Amino acid sequence: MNKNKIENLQELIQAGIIDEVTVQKIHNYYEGKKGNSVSKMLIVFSIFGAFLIGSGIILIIAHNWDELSKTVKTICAFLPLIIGQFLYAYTFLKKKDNVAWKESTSTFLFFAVGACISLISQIYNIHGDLSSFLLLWMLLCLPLIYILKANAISLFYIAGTTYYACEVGYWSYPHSEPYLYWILLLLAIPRYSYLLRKLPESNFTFFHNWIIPLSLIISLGTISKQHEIIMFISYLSLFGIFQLLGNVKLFNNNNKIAGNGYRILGMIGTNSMLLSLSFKWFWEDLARKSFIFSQVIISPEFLAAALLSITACILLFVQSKSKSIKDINPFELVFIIFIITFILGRFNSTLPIIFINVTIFIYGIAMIRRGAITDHLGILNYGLLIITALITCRFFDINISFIIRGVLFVAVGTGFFLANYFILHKRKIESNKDKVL
Amino acid sequence: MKNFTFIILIIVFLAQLAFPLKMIIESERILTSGKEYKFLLEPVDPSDPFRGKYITLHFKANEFTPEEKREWEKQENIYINLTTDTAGFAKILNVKAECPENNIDYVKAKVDYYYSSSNTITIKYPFESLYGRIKSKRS
Repeated sequence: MNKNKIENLQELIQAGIIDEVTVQKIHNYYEGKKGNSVSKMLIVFSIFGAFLIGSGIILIIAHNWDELSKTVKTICAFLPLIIGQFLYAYTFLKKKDNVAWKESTSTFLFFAVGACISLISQIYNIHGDLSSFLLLWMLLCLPLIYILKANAISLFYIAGTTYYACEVGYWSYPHSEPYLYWILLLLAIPRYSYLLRKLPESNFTFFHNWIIPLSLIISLGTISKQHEIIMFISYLSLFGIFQLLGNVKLFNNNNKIAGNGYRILGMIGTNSMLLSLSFKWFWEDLARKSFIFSQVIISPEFLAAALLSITACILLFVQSKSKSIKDINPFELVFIIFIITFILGRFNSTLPIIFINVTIFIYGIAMIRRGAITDHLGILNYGLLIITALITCRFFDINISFIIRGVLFVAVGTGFFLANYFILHKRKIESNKDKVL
Repeated sequence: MKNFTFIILIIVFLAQLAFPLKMIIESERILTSGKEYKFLLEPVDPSDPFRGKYITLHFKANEFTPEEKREWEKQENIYINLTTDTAGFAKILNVKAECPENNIDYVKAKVDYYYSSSNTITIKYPFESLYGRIKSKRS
């Protein structure tokens, strides 16, 4: 417990607010927390240490690599794997309750498996593409997540499957759809579900709440084949789902903003997409495009858009049942607004542009208002940032004079200063009032 | 329950050892029981994030006009019958879509590109990367 807290407690004892027994309980509570933070640091450093040791061993061996015989090279390739397996088995049998041991040995074995396969490929000049290597590596390491209930390798596994999806769906030629990615991701969900239910405050849960939505955002685009324009509906619906999931206690890490990866990614994603859709290129392209209904209806893009939109609507309906209309967050309705605008855009390319720009403007103003009401500088400034971004985007595609552009920027800049000043001034007045009382 | 989990663990460990061993066995089997062919090279040298620097081997014998007149698809599996020329280097005898039945030497490869106007296939061999120190390989 730090010096300030001790002084405050002494003050409270002298004022007769708390007694000595309560002070002892408070002291014990803070000592317990310090112990927890020490063990968390140990876990983190154990994971990094295991990763660095594994990488270091490979680099040391690599230095004299060409001088070694094929047999020695093969033994060196298997050595980290065998050591990793031995440590993992030892942890399973003797140190199952020690989190530092579980996480570090799992991490070491995870990288040892990948290193062994790649080294053997290098030694024997075995041809193979990166996607099949990643798939094999992830499949061989998947059971390790559940046997020791390790969390760090769950994160590495999700990162690895995302890399696999990108390799198959974006970077290899010809591209194909990485359908296996969705199955691989589903196989990691039981561990994530356990973390949400049993360890909602854990740092691993926090990281999972970010990495899973990020993985989905990155990999969704791999579904796209011929009708890429429909993917905009899929993405806005996905961001809508994330914003709605961000309201659910299970996913929002006890309403801490930083821990609510779903809500933050949902908001940033929605805003970014709306800003890109505020330009005329998309709507002119949509109006020009010819769709053959029988082909579109069976395309993976349409099926993904339909599935995500229906899921978002169901979530919205379930959450709205217990709220009045004025309590519904308008940002969560953006995906519905976009679907309607998209259909409208097939017939007219001008109205949707106006509609989207007005939506972004209202969105920004509503965030500023919400920030002012809830006394949250972050939300207020985010609203101002949206307005600034909208004006900046219009800077490039509308023919307005420099004077008007200058005036607009001055107005927004002044708004930034004034809004922040008023909130901070209001807080100062309130804290002075509390001191007087 | 702990015993069952331990059995699963052993199976996982065996699988992690088995896959690299299988790769070694298949590679060694070809070297011991296969026939050696020499290919003339035109090397280019990029880098693999997991296997290090390598030379991309570009072979002179990488284009062929097959007897079979059909639309060949990119990445389609093909079987290349080989022979040797007077200088002792590999020469393509024929390219087929099915695996040869008799004791004919062949290499399983893929179609890299197909030119329909001339019915010519560009071949993607399964041994186009040579790993190791570039300097020693160039010598």
